[in-house]
Amino acid sequence: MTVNELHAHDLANATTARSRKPDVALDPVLARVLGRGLESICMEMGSAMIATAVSAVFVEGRDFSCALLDDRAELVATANFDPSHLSAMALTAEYALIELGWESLAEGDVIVVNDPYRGGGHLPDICVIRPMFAEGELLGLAMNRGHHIDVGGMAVAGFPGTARSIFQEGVRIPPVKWFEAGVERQQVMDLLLLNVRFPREQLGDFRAQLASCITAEQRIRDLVARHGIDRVKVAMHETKAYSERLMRAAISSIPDGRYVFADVMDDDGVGNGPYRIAVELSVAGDEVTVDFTGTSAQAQGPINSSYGNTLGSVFNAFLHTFGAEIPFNHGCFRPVAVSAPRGCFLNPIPPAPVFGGVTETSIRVIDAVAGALAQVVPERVSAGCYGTCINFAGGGWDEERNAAFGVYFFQEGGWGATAWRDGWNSVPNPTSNFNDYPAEVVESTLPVRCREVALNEGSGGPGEYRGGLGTRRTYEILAEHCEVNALGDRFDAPPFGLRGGQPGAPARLLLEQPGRAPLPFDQVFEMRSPSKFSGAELQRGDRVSMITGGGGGFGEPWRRPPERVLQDVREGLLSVADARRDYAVALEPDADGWRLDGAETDLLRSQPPPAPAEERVRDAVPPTTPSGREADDVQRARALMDRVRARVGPDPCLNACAKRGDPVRCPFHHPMAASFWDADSLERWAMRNCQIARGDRQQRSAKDPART
Amino acid sequence: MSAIVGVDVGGTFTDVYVFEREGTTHAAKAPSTPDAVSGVLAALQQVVEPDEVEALSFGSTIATNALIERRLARVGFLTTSGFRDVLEIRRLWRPHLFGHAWDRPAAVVPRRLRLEAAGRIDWRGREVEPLTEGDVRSAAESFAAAGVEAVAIAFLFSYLNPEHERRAGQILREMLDGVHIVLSSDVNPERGEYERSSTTAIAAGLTPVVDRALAAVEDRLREAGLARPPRVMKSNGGVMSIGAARKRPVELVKSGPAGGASAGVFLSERIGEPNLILIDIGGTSADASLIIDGHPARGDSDALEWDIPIRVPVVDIRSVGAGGGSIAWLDPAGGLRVGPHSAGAVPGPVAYGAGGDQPTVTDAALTCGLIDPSYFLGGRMRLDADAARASLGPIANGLGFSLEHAAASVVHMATVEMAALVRHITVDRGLDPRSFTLVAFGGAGPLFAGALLDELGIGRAVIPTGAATLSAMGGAFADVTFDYRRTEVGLVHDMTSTQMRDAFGELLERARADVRGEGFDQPELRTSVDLRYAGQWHEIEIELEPDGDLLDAASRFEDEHERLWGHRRPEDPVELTAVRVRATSRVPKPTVAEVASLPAPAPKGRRTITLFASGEHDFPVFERDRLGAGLALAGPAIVEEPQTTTVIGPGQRLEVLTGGDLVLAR
Repeated sequence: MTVNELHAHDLANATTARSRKPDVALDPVLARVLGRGLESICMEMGSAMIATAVSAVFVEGRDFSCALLDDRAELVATANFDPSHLSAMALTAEYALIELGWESLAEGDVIVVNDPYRGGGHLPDICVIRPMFAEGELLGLAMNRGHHIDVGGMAVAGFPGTARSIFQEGVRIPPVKWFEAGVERQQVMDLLLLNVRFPREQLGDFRAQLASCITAEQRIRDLVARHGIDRVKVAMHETKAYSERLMRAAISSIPDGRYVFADVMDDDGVGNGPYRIAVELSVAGDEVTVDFTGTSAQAQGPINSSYGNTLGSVFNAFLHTFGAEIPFNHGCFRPVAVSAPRGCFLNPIPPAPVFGGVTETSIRVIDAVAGALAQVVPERVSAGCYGTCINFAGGGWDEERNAAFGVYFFQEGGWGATAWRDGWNSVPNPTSNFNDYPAEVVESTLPVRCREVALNEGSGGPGEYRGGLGTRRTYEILAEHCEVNALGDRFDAPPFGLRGGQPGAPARLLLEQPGRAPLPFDQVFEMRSPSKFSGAELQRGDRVSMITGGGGGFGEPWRRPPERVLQDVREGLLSVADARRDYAVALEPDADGWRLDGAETDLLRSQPPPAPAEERVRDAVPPTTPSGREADDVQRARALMDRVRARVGPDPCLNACAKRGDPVRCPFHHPMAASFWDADSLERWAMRNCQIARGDRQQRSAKDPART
Repeated sequence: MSAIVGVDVGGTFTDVYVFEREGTTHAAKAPSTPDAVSGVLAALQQVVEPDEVEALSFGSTIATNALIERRLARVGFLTTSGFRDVLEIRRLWRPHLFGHAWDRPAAVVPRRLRLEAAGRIDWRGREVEPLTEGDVRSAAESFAAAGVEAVAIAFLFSYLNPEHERRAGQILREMLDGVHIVLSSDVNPERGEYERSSTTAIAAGLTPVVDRALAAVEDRLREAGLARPPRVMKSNGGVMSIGAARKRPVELVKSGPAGGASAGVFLSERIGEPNLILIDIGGTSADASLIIDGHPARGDSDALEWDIPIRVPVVDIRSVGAGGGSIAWLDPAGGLRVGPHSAGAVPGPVAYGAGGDQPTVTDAALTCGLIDPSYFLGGRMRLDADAARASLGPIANGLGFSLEHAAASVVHMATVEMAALVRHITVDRGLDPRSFTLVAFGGAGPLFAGALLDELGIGRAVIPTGAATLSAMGGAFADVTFDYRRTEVGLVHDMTSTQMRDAFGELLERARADVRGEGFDQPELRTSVDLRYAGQWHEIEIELEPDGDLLDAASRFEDEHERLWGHRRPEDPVELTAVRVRATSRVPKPTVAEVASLPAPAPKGRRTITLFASGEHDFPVFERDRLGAGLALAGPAIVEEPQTTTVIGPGQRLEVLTGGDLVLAR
């Protein structure tokens, strides 16, 4: 029996420890009714979280998600308050249960995990997972993931723009039980809280996450009490099948073919770049393959995107383009295959730093996939968006309030135009969705004064439909001094336009010291990047401006009606000179400000439009194969995988092993483990759990005692 | 002079409900008119002479429609240097996580009319930079040149120190003759510059428009013979005089639907149930709100459009696009969906025969037997049952169901959407819907009441007398009510009793002045504080006397936090974020006649009805006005009245209360 045959066998007998296969049929309407019930439980998990959380990033940032998973850790229902968490959540739970063992789950357990190399995105996104039992039987898992304000590491409040390994980014948490059978293991939380900078707030957030999971378990019990456990289980299955059907129908609406696109990240914060994202989409019927072969090698700095994060970004792009209404769950995964070569910066090998993968690289992956889709369904996508959060974090001592402070700002900006309208001004990028922090709240809680919250005039990419405008926010430091970190991108390569639309303006981060002109940070301090740095010291009176760019334009700018160009000028969104240069619209002064000079405009527009400016192409980091430590990791993992898989079969696995060759219990049978498990984790798991691997090791050490 | 009148000026019809002194009631209906008042008079004169009217309160969509249609006055906006784009940037977030099918609403004030003045107040209310009066003067010149009718002024931290706003207002008044000047420190003295700016800009834009419209209403009613000026329903479920309403238009944005909540309060007293879920099911939507401890549950903000808030106390009413006209359809995965698209009143359901060709919830209710095609609106409107049936064919085929079961599925799916709405409105507050009694009203409410009980696990539902026109009735019961809220931040153990007395004192002073303006002396005053664990973002309101013990309130807060959210946080201090005052002056209430007890009626007929969960049943059909007080009926049964139909499911029981209200129990 091959791995694939075993896999098929497993799916046919898909149940895990202490869960039975239910034997009832559901009519399609009741299945949908129960499916809606499961989705609404996720929303209620979110309500409990928002009502009780402490961090601004949870409540106003909405930087969390809630999910229900079934008894195979497959996503059943989600409430994505923040889309960046999308599918990484599913991988995290699968991984956690393979490591801890399904057999070890007890009622009242609570698991905590944040490791990006175990399905996560970046360290501050900490997951809390609670098994849901009803009538003594395991129904599935309730899970949420929220962004904690601090996870230790080299940077206050995170986002060390110059981290060279994940160890500098903060504390890594493998799946551990915070509660065991309802009893809190306080040492676990003590260990975590000792490694973060704001333990009191963060304990409050952990409690909110726990309250949210308990809500889910109570609600699922209500559902079981009403409909019976078997029906609820079948509904979980049907809900996935329903989303799969919707996903397949949506993919079918895209013409078959291969669509290629590439976009770049500016740099990695430690002096390398740009990094190229190469994507090839192959649509065949109701299935699609996404291949990132040709993407730059993994980065030394923190722009790497974990495998789970890359996967989530692809689905994010799909949902934006053709699946806004599809309930997101495991069913969406089935018709989609994503491959990112091991060792490229979209599937890095540990201990590569990954902090910016979630907030920066993710957006670029979404835009690149949209760019590929634009070639076949331009009417469904938008041009490139401002493409960064310009994460700006830091902290210090607040003399006025006599307290330590930490802060994490993230930025909205301009979205790309579409085939029918201008891009949105000042809206969160597609990998997130958040409220801003009001100036009056910021000033009341932090030693800063807000000087400006304004549209970034002139930043929208010219086009028949103009890109949306970015935002300019300026803060003055009132503390004696503080330390700040930044992790942004799109400061160099601007957001792309589509169908003749021009790029939007890039982002900037400026520092104005008293009595001096505003300058990019890398011109004030010793830094390798204007957008990524750690530990910059600011003094009282310094002003920081976070300026996001505009979206790309859609369609040729000369097709934009002159009246709309005039309106943009009157509203102060575009200068008279830019109107003439970018849109070939001539204006003349009048009592109301400006009016159209029709004759001159006709003349300007009768000339052929200027050829698009040559894009300044810098050589991207090549997609080299891993070397040194990374190469060794890949080879060891692959070799172990190959050796074990060569010997799996009914005898050692199905009959003799407690894992029974089940892909949700054994990485050697898991379809995606080979794509992202690192060698250390795989070896440790194998020595603990796999007879074949142990036997293999004994044989090999007998042959070569030096290798033990 | 004896009649107490409630009026609801709706989008299509104006409903009037008249209570005579001796307890008799009359309802009347007329088409709504653009000036509102002609429709009111047309309906009123059907049942009562205007000079017989002792008190008249009406819910009006004047402010709401002006907002939705953006018929606002031309407004100038003046704010702190650097912040003019706050009205455009807003609080950022997208309404839908995915997809590009969203048009970001335009800002309330265009950028050209948003101007700035230098000067800063800090977070403790101290002036750190003086107001640059030259900026204010040049703004005044620009506003004058642009011909604005009103100016909204919103400076940072004016809720702590309004001096700059007041000075700027003074300069503008001197320079701009006849222009309304609105200060954010008057309209909404609370933290959060965007919400305060938005509220103030909308107040400025509404004031001239609403003032003109309500002046006309007042004049016309007086000319028609009404002895006293009318009152207007407020968004908070109370009423105020029309004179006050002309000056406080932002308090009218939920004027229409708030009538239902007001009627709910009265119903709550009448039936002795302090906690109610009100669900108003009409043609295009279902609207839910709560009565908690006898008071409407309120929110502190309403939204004009996505992310354009109006921060005033409003009855918390939420809607879902599921009503009688909601269209049923199958999605590409074969999933049955109901709404959000609606056939509306025109063309309406297929059964209306007015051109509708998409199956609606009403068509499904007809096909599974819940509605009698020959008794719709008391038989005044014939329904085409065959066409309704036929329209469900594709759905039945797609699901592999019989027509009747497909129809029952559509009705059930609509029920599920409404149940989800009820869950949201309760669960968001940490409340369990099963601890409430459901009140179902609106044309389709009684049809769904029984099914909602089953779906939500609630024990009892009430179908009030006059269920189809409950919102109009609400005006007649509403008390004069003013709400005040003021930001006041500090840890409870740091607050002194003097600070608390001062904080409440200012609000109490305003409350007494407003109540005197309405012609009342001693209002009932309810004072409370908003508390949370330090650092949290959501508060719980706890009652507290102005000179009461704040630490005791904090301990009650901790109990409530545990009750709602399941845990305490012993290591976290409790923080005060706001003080609140509510002033209520009771108005005379109409009396409601009791219904007589009658002999048990015989069914007027029987029909077969298909239910989603349990299939076909034989239902006896009763006429509502033949049911006397004290009567009990066991389901399955149908109770019909001209405006609506009540369904008593198998296993459910119906009882008639002395006030004529029906109680449905599981």
